[in-house]
Amino acid sequence: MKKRRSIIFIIALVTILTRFVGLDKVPPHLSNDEISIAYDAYSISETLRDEHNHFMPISFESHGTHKAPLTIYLTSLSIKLLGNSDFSARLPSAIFGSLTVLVLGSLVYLLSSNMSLSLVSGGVLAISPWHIYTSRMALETNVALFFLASAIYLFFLAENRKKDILFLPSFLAFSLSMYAYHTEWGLTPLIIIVLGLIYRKNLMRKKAYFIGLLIFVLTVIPLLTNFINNLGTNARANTEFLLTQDSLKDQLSLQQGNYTRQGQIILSRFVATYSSYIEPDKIFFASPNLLPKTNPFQAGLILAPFLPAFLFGLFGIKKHFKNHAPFIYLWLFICPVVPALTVGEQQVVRNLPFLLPALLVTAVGCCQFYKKFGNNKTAIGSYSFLILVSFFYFSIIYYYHYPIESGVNFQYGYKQIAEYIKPRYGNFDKIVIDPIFGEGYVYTGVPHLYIPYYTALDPRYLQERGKNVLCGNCFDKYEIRSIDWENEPVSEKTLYVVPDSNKPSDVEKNQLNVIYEVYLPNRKPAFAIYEKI
Amino acid sequence: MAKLSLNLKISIVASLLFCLSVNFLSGNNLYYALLNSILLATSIIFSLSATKKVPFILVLSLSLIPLLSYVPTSKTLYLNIFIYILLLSIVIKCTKHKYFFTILGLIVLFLGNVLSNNLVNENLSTNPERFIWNVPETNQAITDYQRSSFYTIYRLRLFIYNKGIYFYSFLTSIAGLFSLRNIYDTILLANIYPLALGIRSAIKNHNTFINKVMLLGIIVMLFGTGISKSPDKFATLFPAVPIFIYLVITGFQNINRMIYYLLFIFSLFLATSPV
Repeated sequence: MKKRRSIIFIIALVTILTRFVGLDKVPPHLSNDEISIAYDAYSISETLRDEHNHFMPISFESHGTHKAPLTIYLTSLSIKLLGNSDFSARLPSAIFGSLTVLVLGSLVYLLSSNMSLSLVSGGVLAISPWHIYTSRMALETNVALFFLASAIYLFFLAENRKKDILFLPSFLAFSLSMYAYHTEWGLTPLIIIVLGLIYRKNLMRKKAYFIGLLIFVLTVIPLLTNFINNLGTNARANTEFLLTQDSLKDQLSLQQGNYTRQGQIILSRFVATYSSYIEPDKIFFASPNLLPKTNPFQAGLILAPFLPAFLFGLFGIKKHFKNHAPFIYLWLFICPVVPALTVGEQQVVRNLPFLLPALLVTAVGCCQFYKKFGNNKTAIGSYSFLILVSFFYFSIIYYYHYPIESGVNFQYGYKQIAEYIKPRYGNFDKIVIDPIFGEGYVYTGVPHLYIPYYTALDPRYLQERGKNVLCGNCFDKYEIRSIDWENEPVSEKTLYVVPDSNKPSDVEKNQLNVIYEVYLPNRKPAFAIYEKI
Repeated sequence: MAKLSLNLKISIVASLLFCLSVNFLSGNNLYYALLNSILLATSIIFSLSATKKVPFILVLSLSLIPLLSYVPTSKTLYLNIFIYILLLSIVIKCTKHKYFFTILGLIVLFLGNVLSNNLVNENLSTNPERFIWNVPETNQAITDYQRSSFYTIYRLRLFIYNKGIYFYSFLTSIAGLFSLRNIYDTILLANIYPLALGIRSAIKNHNTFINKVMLLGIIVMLFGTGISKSPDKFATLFPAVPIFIYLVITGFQNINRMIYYLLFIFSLFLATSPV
């Protein structure tokens, strides 16, 4: 009992340390998606309206597409309480990420009645690079994962322990998962169908199950109505769906009228994308989201030594989960289905729900290993050592090298610019910010969200910017537009913020004075701020 | 052949004919079509040491394996594979010198693998730029990190960032080969199911000599894959065709037929897709 408590304490400690320490510094800056969530949350917390002046929306317009609402509303609470910072924006994700470890451990214990397996599952999730990565960012997918895992846990609590009333919160959590992220729009109904089919014999007799189902349907109706209203617009389901991919459209147009051929093309594309979401090298060795591909120091989404455990675990599910084995296999199989229906390269955030069944299988494999080699202390010691070494390398890559090398990907510098502007705000009549950044002057950033967020500008300025016909992205003193130095009339009491790739030439430099420079974490220059001499 | 039942003889002839047809449909010339078909037939005959049951659906499915319509860059590779099959057959039949023939077989398999991946040329000269070690970007990253990782002292940095990282690249390269897509592109989606069961059965019964030989064969194949900087899935897996066929045939004995038939229809639907 004492040993068990110590293990639970260690897992909890590792979970908290890996998810909360330096939350505002790793990753080094709020990303494009994070600032979109953070700004809308700030805007909601102040005015109950989003950036685009919509009152309490169900779907948030963002960067040419739409975001799910739940994370934004939850983040608005932390921002209201703690102010506008990286920490407050990421806090809900870190909290829900930590709680998911607890939920997974409890779920495994409920399904297997095996405390060791439950602890191993929790432990493996606590040190999972994939989960640490998503828990430390203000991402919708992580919040959705918590609600999905909780819904499944409550479902089995109701089904296994005959606490029928728990079907109601279970279906409510299923519904909330759909409000949290778009992957769950497809995945949650699939899981509900799978659960309904596998456990139909028991469920048919339970009134609370049907009431729960009704609650689920009723609560997702607003989401459905919103989706139907947005059909034909740039809503996420319309822009990210596999069939909207140009290359696929071209191939289908060549087979017009031949439905079998068209079906084959779509199916081939789907299977290829599905496969890309479960590629073992990307999952266990080199995730596409940390260091550049040419860098050999990579980390997988799950620690590499867990690959053999995962493979062995696949054959041990039946032994550990008995009647629940079909659900575990189907859960593992259906998770990548929805991401595989979307366009573009493999996105780790879209496929996050796959992590839970994958780690569950891995934990089974670990327990099988222990059972087989438990007496061989050298084998167990070596395997544990490999896991520790692997986690050590992930830690130095993620907590040390990644923040240094990924500054540009996170639009690093806008926060520092805002911190410079905030105390000097009254000194200037106009602040012109060039939104293009990075080497080669090619990437378009979103300073119109970063600067107001970090300077806590009244959200009403941004909500009403559409009224300014002459300048689309102008609000308060700010003008967000590219700067062409040759044709830029340099005025007094105006601040010019430009990337290092758009510095003024020697001629213009005679009229300008550089008053502040921002450097990336790798010490390369990022932005410079100028004013008239 | 004399001991084979009529059904098995028909199965083997059918596999030859199917494989020939598939090769012709793929645009291969008679020479390669014949070699690939003979490779399939000899691999099936060798696999009969494990089981006497080779159902018609399996024959059809094995003939459709994309690996058996592959045209390798080196013709010597066929000789290599046939020698490997011969050595495997000797290992099964002989009680004497088993270990000698096994080691010889593994060397032949490894040679086939490195030859197929162009790590080694037919005149046995090597192509250093195709090996996973000595990649300039990797060496540069090691030096950079040793210089710039200020979170620890320099001596420890030399220990943390070293050429051992090539082993990680080696494992990454192996894992990359085993994506679902690479496997179904080379051995057909339906065959993944019996292959997985075949491997599982070989691991479970690893005390049987032939299973040991098969598992060692897989390890050698993985090693050959790992040391190649950019292993081509067809080139890497082609020399191991006899191993795959053996494992698929043994795994087939434990499959759920209904699931296999569904997967087979699905595979045909995918394999005949225009893209």
